[in-house]
Formats: sequence, structure tokens, C-alpha cells
Amino acid sequence: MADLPKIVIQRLQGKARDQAHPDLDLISAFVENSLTQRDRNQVLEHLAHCSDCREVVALSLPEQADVVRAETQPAGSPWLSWRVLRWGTLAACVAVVGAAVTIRYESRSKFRQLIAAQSPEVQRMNETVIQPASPLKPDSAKAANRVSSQPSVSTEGVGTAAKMRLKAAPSKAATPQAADREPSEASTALQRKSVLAETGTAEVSAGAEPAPQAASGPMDELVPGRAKDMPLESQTYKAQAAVGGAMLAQPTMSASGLAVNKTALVPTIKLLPRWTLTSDGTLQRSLDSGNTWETIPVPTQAILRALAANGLHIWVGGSGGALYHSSDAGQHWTQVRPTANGEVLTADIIGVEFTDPQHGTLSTSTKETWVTDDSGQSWQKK
Amino acid sequence: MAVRGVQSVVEPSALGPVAELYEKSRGPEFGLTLEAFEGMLQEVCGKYLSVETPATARRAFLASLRVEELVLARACAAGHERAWEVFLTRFREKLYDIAGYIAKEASSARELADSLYADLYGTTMRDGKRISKLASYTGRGSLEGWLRTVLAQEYVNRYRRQRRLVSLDQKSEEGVQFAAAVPEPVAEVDPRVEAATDEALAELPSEDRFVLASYYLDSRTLAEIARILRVHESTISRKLDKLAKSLRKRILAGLRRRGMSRQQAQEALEVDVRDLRVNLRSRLVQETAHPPFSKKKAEARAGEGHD
Repeated sequence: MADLPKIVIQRLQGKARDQAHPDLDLISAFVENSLTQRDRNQVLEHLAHCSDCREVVALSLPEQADVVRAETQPAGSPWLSWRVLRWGTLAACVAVVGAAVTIRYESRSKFRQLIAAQSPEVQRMNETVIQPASPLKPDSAKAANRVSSQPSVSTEGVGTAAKMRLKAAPSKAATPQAADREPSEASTALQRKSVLAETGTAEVSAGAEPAPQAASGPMDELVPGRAKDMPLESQTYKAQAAVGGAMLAQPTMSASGLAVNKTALVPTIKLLPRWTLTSDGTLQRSLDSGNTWETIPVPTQAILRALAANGLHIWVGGSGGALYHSSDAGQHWTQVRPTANGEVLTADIIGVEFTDPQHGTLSTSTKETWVTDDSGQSWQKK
Repeated sequence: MAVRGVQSVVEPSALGPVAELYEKSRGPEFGLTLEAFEGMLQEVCGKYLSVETPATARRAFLASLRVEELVLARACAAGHERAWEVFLTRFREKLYDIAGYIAKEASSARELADSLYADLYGTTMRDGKRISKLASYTGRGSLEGWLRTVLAQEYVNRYRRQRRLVSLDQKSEEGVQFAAAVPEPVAEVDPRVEAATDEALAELPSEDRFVLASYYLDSRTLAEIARILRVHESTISRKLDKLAKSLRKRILAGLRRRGMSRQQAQEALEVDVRDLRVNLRSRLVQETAHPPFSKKKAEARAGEGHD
């Protein structure tokens, strides 16, 4: 960083100006970035000269101020943000070229034969999770055979989590019936991603959009070479920034040992949505890790005060016992009226907690606790 | 900055959809009538808006207020029990958490929070009326944010000033020698440099000066400044770099406009203020010391003139 002339630092201190300090409301609104530009500039003008007020501002910051204003292209060095995009584009091109060279289309029937040769348990798991579009090549079939004969703890562990994820899948995903029969390629990819993601640090949301039906080839193909080369240990998916809608992820070896080609991932993968409630009770959602937020309308006049999110399930509670549930990340809402022994919950809901889609707890302003074990179908008041 | 808002009266009709805001504020729950609510909004508008503020701006301003929290705060200030129940449910734990974050020390944090609670509840009486700090909340920012700022200001007022007091005993034990105050080297700094610097600084936007002050005067980190301004850390880094370069250029240009040559301007800018103090001290201590180079030249020119 270039040195600042010392005289500038001296003059920056300047003489203490006889100015009235902005009131605490203005300072707190400044910290929350809720002032008009004119008011903000006035506060900044004062802060530029008042070390005490600067100190108050710094101490007033919440512990985690994770809302960052979308950074506009800096005038001095526009290349920095573009560099990330350039490398992302280059990586995407490399992935596409590599996939085109190495991918072989296998027949679906050959793969089913392989699955049929597996143990019933693994077969059941694979049928609901992994369904490639094309049959394997002979060498990849060998790899699949070798790997698939090793059911592991993590697969079982995945199963439970996968069930939850599958349950939490959006309406676009395969229906339960579809999971039993041959699922569509699109839903297959979705489910596979969900399960594979569970084996490691999942950054792939259960809300991932299914691949377009037309993209049959790359979507569900296996990479024979990769299956042999990669170690049989869970790796972490690394979803990188989308470039023109294309997402990259390094292939992960699930417990079953089946590697997924980079291009087998859907063109667009959304991260798990993040949720927040503004101070005036508005529900907001971010699909890009908090960089941008959108208001999600909830069909209620009540002021929302608490929320709990679990995958795509979102519960919001507010004044007058208002409780709403969405299982598709806020696209559709259902009002829930907790009732216990004939008594309806009417107090303000100030706390909502759901450890999983079934088990939840509500806290009210009147110090009541309402518990459900069946996704809100029935409640007990404690 | 003078707090904007002369106590001007805003016509009720100019307040716009007050009824809608009243419903949103849940005022009836705390026994607040529409008229009282309207009076509250008038008070807030009078504090921040002028009579000339156009109606659209006034409506936008009102829409931006946290009316629900405003009503809650005012109801608490008025001693409404139900309001206090809601306030304590929502903010009691947060207040202690915030105090802990600010004070960093458990005992100080508790004392800070307890002290604020007393101010919020209104233990002070004036003319038979309880004075609560919550009465000064106007809803510009969230109530939680306001509480945070109040705590921060209380902390700054109390504890930081205590820390600035130097214990003479402690210092002498550490072996610190107290030196005589160094006289201000004002005479040594070319006033043209000061003027050019002031001019260059005045041309900067307030945000840039805030960044400079935070970084160079308060020694804040790039991350801390970025959090305050809600930008990325790299933005602050690039801004500081850019400012340092541009200020240098502007000051040099200002010095050239004030009659200095390019070389003189660069030399003048490179002179460290601290070096000037040292030079002055050395001159005071050693009367036989060689005068600074610039003085030598001045004396040489004077000698030539006499001759």
C-alpha cells in the first residue's frame, strides 16, 4: 500500500470541530445501512472528524455483520473480480472438454444388470439414488462391481440423511413413487447429488434444480477411469461459482465408490437457501450465501419474529400465534394453527426450532412451549 | 454536524397513510390511540425533516421507520407492563450478549447492561414523571441496533476514559521517564503545505476521509473498516492505496499552484512532521548545531544581498 504523506495524517486530525454529535438513532441507522444517502453522507462527514463517534460506531457493529454490499466494479482495478470469472470459465471449459474426451455412453440395461448383481440392500440404495443414463463400459463396470460389493457404514449413514434430503426435495424433484420406479434422469441427478453430498461436507442443496430432460448423456454418466483412480473415501464437494449457469464440482467418491463426472452435475446448482427476518418482520431469503437477499412474501399480516429452516423446510412464527410452514423454500405456504387440548395458540411466537422436519418447538412471549413430533400435525403445550 | 430537525410542525394531512402505519405498529395492543401515534410520528418527523421536505420524501421517511419497535419503546417508556414483558422477552438476553461483546469482560459487561436497564426502565424522576431512555428512540434504525449503540456510547463514556488515566505510580514502576512537552513545530511547517493538504482533504468525499481517519488515526484494520461500510476488505485496501497516491498528486499540484517548483514541492512533502520536532529539539539543546539546509541557503542569500 502506498505511503500516505505524514502531513496528511497530521492535518487529518485537524482541530476538533464544534459540531453536535448525531443522535444515537442516526448512528444505529448508519450502522445498519438504513439511512438515505444524504443522511449517510452527513453522518460520515461527522465521523471523519470525531474519533469518539467512530469508536461508538465500531462498537455498535453486530458480532457478525455478514451483509456485504454488492461490490461494484472498482474503478482502479476491474480485473480482480473478472479474474475469478475468467478462471471459472476456463475451468468450466476444461471440464467440458475433459468430459467429452473421457465420457463413454453406457447402456442403462447393463448398469441395471450390475445393480441386480449387488446385495439387496445396496441394490435398494442404488436404485433410489444412482441411476445412470447409459450402460457402463466394461472397465467401468468392473470398477463398479468392485466398489459396489463393499457396502460401507457411510452408505448406511447416507441413507438416513438421504431420506431426509429426499423428503426435503422440492416439488420439482422426483415424487416418492418415482423413487421406487425408474426415476427420470433429471430427478436421478438431483437425488444422487443429495446423497453424494451427504457423504462429505454438503454444499449442494437439496433444492438443486433437476437437469433438463434433454441432457441425457452427460447427466448420469460414470467416469470409468475416475472410478478406478480415485480413492474410496469421501471427499468434499466444492461447488464453485456458476458461470453462465454452469456449476463445477470436483468429483466425489461416495461410499459406493461411484465417481460422478463433473458434467454429470446439473447445469445450475443452488446452495441451501439462507433465511433471515428483518426488524420489521419481513422474511428474506438468499440463494447465494448471503450476497443478495430477496423478500419472500408470507400470506399473513402478522409480524414475523422467529424462523427455523431445515433444508427446504422453513417455519416462521410471529404475532398472535401466526405460524406458517413451507416445504419448498418459501414458494408455497401453509398456515399451521397449533392446538393442544382444545386450546389454540394465540400468543406471540418468539422462538421456533426444528431439529428435523418432524420435531419442532415453539416459544411464546407468554413463556409457553409448544412441541410437535409430527411436522406440526399435532402439538403438546408445556 | 448539527442534528437536523428544527422543531417544526408537520401538518397531519402530510403524514400520509398514518392509519396503515398505526395498524402495522400494533399500537392498540399497548393502549396507544391513533391520535397519540400520529403525535409520535409528528415528533419524529419534526426532528429529522424540515417543513420544505416534499410529501413523497416524507412518506418514504415514515415508511422507513420501525413503527412497531417505536411503539414498543414508547410504551415501555410510559411504563406499560405488557410492553415491558414483550421488551424483556425480546431483548433481555440480547442486551447482556451485546454488553459482553462490547466490554469483553464479564463483570464490566454485566455492570454495563444493568446500568442501561436502569436507564431504560427509567429510575430517574423528573417533575414526578419517570424518565426513560427509551423515550428518545425514534425508529430510524432497529431497536436492537439502537440498544447496541446506546451500550457502545455508555461504554465509551465510562470505561475508555478511565483507561486513559495514567497511573503515575504504575508508570514510574515501569521506568517511564516523563519528558518535558515538546513545543509545537508549527513554525517549521510551511503553511503552503498545510493549505495544500487541507485543500486536498476537503475535496475528498466524506467516506474517503472516514476511511483515512479510521485507518491512520484509529489504527483500525481493513476488515473492521470494511464491516462498518459494508464492503469487502479488498475494497478498503484498494481505496486506501488509491487515496494515498491521489492525495500526493493533489498536494503537489496545490503546492505548484502556490508558487513552489516541482522539486521544492516534493521536498516539502517529504518532510516528516516528527522530524521537524526532532530538529527543533536538537536546535534547542545544541546551540552550536548546524542550521538546517534551508536555513543555510537563506543565510547565504542574505549574505549575498548584503554584499
